[in-house]
Amino acid sequence: MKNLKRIVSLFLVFTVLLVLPLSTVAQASGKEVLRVAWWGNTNRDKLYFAINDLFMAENPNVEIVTESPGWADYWVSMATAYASGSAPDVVQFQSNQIGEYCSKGVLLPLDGYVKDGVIDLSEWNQSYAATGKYEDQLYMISLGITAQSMIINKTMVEKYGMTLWGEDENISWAEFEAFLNELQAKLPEDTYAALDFYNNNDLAWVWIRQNSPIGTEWVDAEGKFAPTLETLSGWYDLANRLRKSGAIANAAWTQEWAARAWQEGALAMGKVAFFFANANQYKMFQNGIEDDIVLRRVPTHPGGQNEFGDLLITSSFGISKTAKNPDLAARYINFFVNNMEAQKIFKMELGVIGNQTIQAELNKNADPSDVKAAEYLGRVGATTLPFIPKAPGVWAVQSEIESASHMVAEGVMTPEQAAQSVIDIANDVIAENAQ
Amino acid sequence: MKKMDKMAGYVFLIPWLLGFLLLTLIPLAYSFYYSLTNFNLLSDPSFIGFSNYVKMFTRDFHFLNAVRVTFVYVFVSVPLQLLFSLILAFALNKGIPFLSAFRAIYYIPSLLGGSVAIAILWRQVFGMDGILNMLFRALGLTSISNISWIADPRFAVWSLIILRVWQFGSPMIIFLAGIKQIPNELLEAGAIDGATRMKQTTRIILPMMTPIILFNVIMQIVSAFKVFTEAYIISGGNGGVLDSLLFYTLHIYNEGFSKMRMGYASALSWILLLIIALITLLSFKAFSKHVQYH
Repeated sequence: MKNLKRIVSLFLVFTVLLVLPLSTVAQASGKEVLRVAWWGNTNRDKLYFAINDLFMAENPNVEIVTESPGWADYWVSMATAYASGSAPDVVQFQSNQIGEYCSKGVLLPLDGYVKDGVIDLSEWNQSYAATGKYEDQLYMISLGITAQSMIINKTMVEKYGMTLWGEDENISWAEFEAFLNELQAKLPEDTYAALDFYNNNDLAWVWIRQNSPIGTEWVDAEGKFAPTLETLSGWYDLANRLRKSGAIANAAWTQEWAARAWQEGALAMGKVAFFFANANQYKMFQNGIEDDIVLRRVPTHPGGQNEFGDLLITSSFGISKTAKNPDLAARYINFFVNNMEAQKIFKMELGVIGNQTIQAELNKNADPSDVKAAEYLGRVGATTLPFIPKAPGVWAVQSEIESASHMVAEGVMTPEQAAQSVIDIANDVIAENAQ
Repeated sequence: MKKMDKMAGYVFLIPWLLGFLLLTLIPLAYSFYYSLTNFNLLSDPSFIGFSNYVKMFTRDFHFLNAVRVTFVYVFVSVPLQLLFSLILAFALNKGIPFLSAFRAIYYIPSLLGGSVAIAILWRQVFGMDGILNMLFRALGLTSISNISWIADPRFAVWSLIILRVWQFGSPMIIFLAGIKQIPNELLEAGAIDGATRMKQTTRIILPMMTPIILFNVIMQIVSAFKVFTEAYIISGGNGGVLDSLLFYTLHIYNEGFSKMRMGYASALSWILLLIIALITLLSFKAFSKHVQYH
């Protein structure tokens, strides 16, 4: 009996040792804990940590606990955290997730905090502030706005005897197609005017917005997927023409180069002259490549439903409904976006910021590439359609838009068949999300 | 056995039982329930019966692509890998010097094979500017030296099949252990009766090895069906051009986490379980007449 007692005691001690670390909480320090999550990398994390340190210095009773996985892991981590009810208090989102998360009621509306002045948007560009709205309620506060752009190796274009249009000028898709074809005819083997854009959903949405009635680029009045067969097949047809002429690389070549880090990517290695990317990445390319790299607006659609369809892409903070201290979370967000010192540290990492006073101050000492990107966003923001959050299910639909592109690129489907396939699947996804 | 000793045994079983219950059995039951629901992780699941299973076979062409890619991978890579490892096991049984060192060296790929680092290395070998194409260029085979063996949908899965075959160490060690267990007397008796080396191998060693071969076949088939990391890294997570690297597990992952359709992903997982169970059963049936346990 004595032995049994000993064994059971040992087992209990062992179990306690196993369980103890799980129950260890940061509150042990007696401070209020705020959990903050963003998608990160080593360099970006340093900026957030520095800002967090500033906030904790001003609020010594607060301890910020952070989570910053890379982009792909981040969304898996957040989805499972929300599913298990253990989401961080402050969570960073991107345009694509606004509808997905807001529609499910897992985020706290922030209008009350704005009304009470806890989150101050009085000096903000209101069109940027509106990027955090879903169904007329504010759920997110932007950390930076960007938009799809063309990042072009001007030196390479001029080397082959071509002249690029001015930065204030726009070109249509037809002119763009002609320009690429003319450039391609002069380029050496295994070099392309541009990468295939089969995997560029942001660009596909620009096309869709240019070809859809204002406000109905996602769902129509009957709740069905709004982009028409003509719009989607037109998109696939454009890419197909460029593939056939050889002006954009084939899908396998693009897949290979797109998977590389930007320093070893097609633009940096002089394999392509045109590269579609968000404007906030311009600085990275301009400062990292010896050639003259310039920024131009994505092609426009004069005579179409809308000449401009640029989609403002926002990265924003939201507060989880499960946040233990939402007031603290709101104060933290306000500090992050409206504190001059914090924004001097952040240096427009995620694009142009909403607070115009701070943006003007930042412009004085900003990297010239950041100023160019800010000016670009100014031009885009002034002329494009209002921001409309994508509806829930967007990732599933975007995945199908890309997948159908593969089919067209490899000749498995015609543009019309691909467009119909996307419409059918998108309607399934919309119906699933309506349940 | 004393009652007290029995009690002690049960007490020590409790951690495992708890783990099995909490981390396997209950999640398994939940997974089946979710497979009958529309569940997006953020809202409560809503019951939809067998709709997810119907959809899989009627409206999801990615499912059929994933099954096709995975079957090609499993049924080409596993026989090649086992054949290669069996040949090497025979070679290493010849009493060559530094046998232990060779065994360790050959086992290393099995340890590294499924890792992120190896998947990245594979890009360097089979990519457009990779070692393979450099070799082709050096040999003057310029017509095939610009192919991306990991991105071109015609070849992508084959580069992963080679990666699998390269991970021959684990089955090889098991084969080698099996060969060493065969009593020498049997081989000597065979030799006295005039059996050549080949006859000894085909009539004595291989029949004696059949339980081990069956074990390796089952284990490697199950493991090949579950392959994920390599396909995820090499395809960039999207399954590659034309779903050419959309392995079944990657499809489950994308549906569950990228598209937030956990109900559908759960249904896919149950079908995978059934496929593996069926193939294991068929393997047992097919081998039952040939496996000699005595």
